[in-house]
Amino acid sequence: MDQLANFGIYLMGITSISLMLAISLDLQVGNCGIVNFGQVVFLTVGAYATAIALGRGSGAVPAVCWGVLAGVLFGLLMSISVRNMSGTYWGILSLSLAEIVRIIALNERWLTGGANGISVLVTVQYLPWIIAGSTLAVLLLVGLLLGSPFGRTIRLIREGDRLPMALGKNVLLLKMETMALGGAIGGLAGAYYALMQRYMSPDDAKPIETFIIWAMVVVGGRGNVWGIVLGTVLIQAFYTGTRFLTGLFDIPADTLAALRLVTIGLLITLVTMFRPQGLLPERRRIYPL
Amino acid sequence: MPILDQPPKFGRRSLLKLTGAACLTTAMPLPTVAAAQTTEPVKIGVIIGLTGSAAVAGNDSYRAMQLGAEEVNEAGGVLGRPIKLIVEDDEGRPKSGVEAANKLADVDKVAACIGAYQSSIALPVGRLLNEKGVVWVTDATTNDLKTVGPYLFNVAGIAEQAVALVDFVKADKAGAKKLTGIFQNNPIGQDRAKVSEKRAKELGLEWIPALLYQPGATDFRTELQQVVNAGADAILTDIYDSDAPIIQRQLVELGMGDFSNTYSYNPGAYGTLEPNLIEGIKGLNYITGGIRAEAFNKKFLEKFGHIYTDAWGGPPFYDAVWIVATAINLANGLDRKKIRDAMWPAAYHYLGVSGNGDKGFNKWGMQASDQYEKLAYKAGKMVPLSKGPENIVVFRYSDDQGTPLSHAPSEEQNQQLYPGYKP
Amino acid sequence: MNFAQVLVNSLITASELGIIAVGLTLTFSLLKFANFAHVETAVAGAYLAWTLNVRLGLNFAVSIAAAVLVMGLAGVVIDRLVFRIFRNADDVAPMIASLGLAIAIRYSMQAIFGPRFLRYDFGIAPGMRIVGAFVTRQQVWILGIVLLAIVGFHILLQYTTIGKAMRATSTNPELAQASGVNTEWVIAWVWFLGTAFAALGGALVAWDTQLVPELGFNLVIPVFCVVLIGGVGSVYGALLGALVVGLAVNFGVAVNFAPLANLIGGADWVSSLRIPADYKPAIVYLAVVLILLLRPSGFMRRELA
Repeated sequence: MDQLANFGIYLMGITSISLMLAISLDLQVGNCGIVNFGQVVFLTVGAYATAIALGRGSGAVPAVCWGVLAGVLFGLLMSISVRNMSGTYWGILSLSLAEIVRIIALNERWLTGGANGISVLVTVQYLPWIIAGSTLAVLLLVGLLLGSPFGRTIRLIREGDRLPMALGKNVLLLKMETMALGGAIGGLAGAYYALMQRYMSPDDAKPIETFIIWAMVVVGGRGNVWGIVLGTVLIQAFYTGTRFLTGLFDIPADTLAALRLVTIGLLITLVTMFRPQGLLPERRRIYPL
Repeated sequence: MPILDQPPKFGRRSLLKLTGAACLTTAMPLPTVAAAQTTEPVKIGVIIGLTGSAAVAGNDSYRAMQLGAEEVNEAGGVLGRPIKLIVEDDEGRPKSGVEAANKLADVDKVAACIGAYQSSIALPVGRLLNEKGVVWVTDATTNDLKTVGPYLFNVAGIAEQAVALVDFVKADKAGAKKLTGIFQNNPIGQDRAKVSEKRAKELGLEWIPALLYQPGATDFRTELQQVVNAGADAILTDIYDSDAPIIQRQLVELGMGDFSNTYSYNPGAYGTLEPNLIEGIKGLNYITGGIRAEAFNKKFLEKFGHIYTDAWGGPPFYDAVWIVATAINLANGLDRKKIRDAMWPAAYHYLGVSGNGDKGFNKWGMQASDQYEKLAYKAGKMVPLSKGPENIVVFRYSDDQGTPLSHAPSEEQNQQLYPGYKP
Repeated sequence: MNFAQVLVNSLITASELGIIAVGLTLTFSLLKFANFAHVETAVAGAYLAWTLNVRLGLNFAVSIAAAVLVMGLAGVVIDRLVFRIFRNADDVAPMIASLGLAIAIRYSMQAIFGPRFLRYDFGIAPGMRIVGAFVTRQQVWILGIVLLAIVGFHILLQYTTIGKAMRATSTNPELAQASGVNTEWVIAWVWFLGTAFAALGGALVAWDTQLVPELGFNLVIPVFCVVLIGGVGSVYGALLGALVVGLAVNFGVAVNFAPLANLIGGADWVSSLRIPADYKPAIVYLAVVLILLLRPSGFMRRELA
């Protein structure tokens, strides 16, 4: 039974990391309307910063701080290019930036170990519990923040730049703050990812990882923290749960493996078709005039 | 470790219930029905890319393992029980590979794990399984494998040992002064480039920076022209999977179809298109020759209708299954640590179909020697360069790395080898 | 550097990316969401053409024509089954639906055809020499077919009723509907044309290179880059974008930047300064970043023209 519990604890840890990335993405896209197709980049820079710091003899806590810092800095860097660029354009721009970072990580062997990646030799006790605790804290923090005037203002930005500008809000600064916060959460997720996997490589930074996080946010429900939690758990369950289904069929393994991914794809499509706003849509307050 | 002697039994019904629950609750702890029947199969986990960028080699590798498992079972299995492979797809994603490893170790409670054709999956999975104390046998070849821990075994020489090709080029092409390379931009490719460059310089040859191409791309034309026209006397290559036919095609179409100065780390993988187009390629193939290998190849062909495309993506994994099965028998039980320690004698006394049969592990658990066969494409066929014993190249370091052990290193030795390792 | 050869390589890259991008920009401008399944339908079309050509032994031209037609219809079916629901939703939900669909299509291809590479029924031979560059017969055909398809498309868009209706709907759907345009009918046409173009492009890429299930994986992001560099909805912009990307990735790798660096006046004289090929995939992304920072809406921001 102990071992089974271990698997549960592992899943808790890895799902929490995805959840952090999903919360970070939801903050950007669900609340502020910043279409970030390069979300995985925060995980990338966070994990690499942590792994590199650990490799140079830093302790675990400072290393995680480096990861968060890297996320913040990259968030700021990306937000500078947001400016007045609209939806999908900025989406592709952010995706391109994330890919450039991945390709640099792949080729600059002196810094990142190149394709071989960086191994993390530090073992942290109770790591999955720490990650889950941090995720809970992040969840709480973001929930509080979204209820605050800051949250209301960035949701205003989502509906268009003009109104907040007319109200005298500095839209660019608010977007930068959102991206910095999103980057911090993403960087933290990356730092934990490096500790949890004990390894980071460019293969962990491919665009598919971004798309999986997107699916979590959209399936769950943009702008609703509980929706994000549900979406993350559901997508993780699609990926993990289908592993247990494969034992039931007597077809060649390669076909079965492909069909497993077909099933995951179709499930994502079906859920979005029938719940375009997500399973738990954002509750929009309507103020009667 | 009494738990391990009683593997859980899943009936169809409980599995169905379980998968329903899995979809709802992220597959939390599973109900187990303890059954101490001795005919219960011994589970061996497989983590391999059945989909994703290395799917061709991944699927052939799994087929080879299935062949091995079948033979083991025909021969009576292990501990009087049959073995059963439980395969998990890594999708070419490290995250997915680690998830699969966690599942195999903790849910399926496998006796050992085999797999990973890609180093970016072999490494994190190796770290995890070392922590869990599960034997992990891979044929990934990155040098970093030796730093992971005592539970990691490699059944094909690591990249560091594969410098033999540079020596071969120097001997084969008198007067060659400048060398360059074409490698995949992945762990093995980057290691190959580094190691080849180092060896070339040791031998007093000039090295022009190698082309590291993006695997899976469709258009390599411009960079191929760059590297072919860079003025090297010989080009070292390691091109495989779906990239081999496309690169070969573009070279031919661009009028660079003269392969007389091309040397390959993996000439077998070149033959996937039309062998008559690549007349003249020479190289050191990972040996899959000899009478046992011929029998294996014949069986593979009969069973699956085609031969594996890549000498690494098949035979070593077949050997891995046999070595693991032997080790379990030697350990005389499913104690994971005993199985680990039995891996050394199992490999030491086993004669495999890959390499030249010598699968002995050095103290790091890496295959201690590497054996290659000199091959060339002549008249549309891949043939041995010559018939005599000189056609076989055995690469073996003169130090500990080249010494296969007949018994496992002691725990003190392990602690010295891997800082941070706790028995 | 063999200038002619690099130019030919660039043109081939550009025409293959361009023909797929044209279909994408078409659906993108009308339906207002990023269809990630577009490139996978291109791959599916290529596999269909392979089945007809190699498995059933049909003539190659007939196979491609049939595959293009069938995939066009499949596009309409996909729209009816999946994307019709999203007509009044925002752009994010259909995008994720298309992403799920893309994954499903890609691995269906692998489940059906296996992971091994496939080729059409053609031999491989060295190309012809044209002003110092090697060009294969199929590459000449590809350039010709792409050119023809684009001209045909131009005529369709500018001079036919359906073309005008498409442009009208893309610019202002409400106004078009009020003027008596059946927008659902127009949307069906757009799906047909967009997916047919994708299938044509996929078949041409596979003809020039080879067919693997992962083909779409390596094409999807460059194709999106091309569309956005050109400006969403601009067919000619997409072609221009494809040309820019084609030239950038090939010349980026081929050009020796040393003279430039020496001219700018670095401290050390260098004889060779090149972008290493390991950074080739980054060139297209760098181009996107630079172009979008200078022109945030791509080269040509217009609705379907």
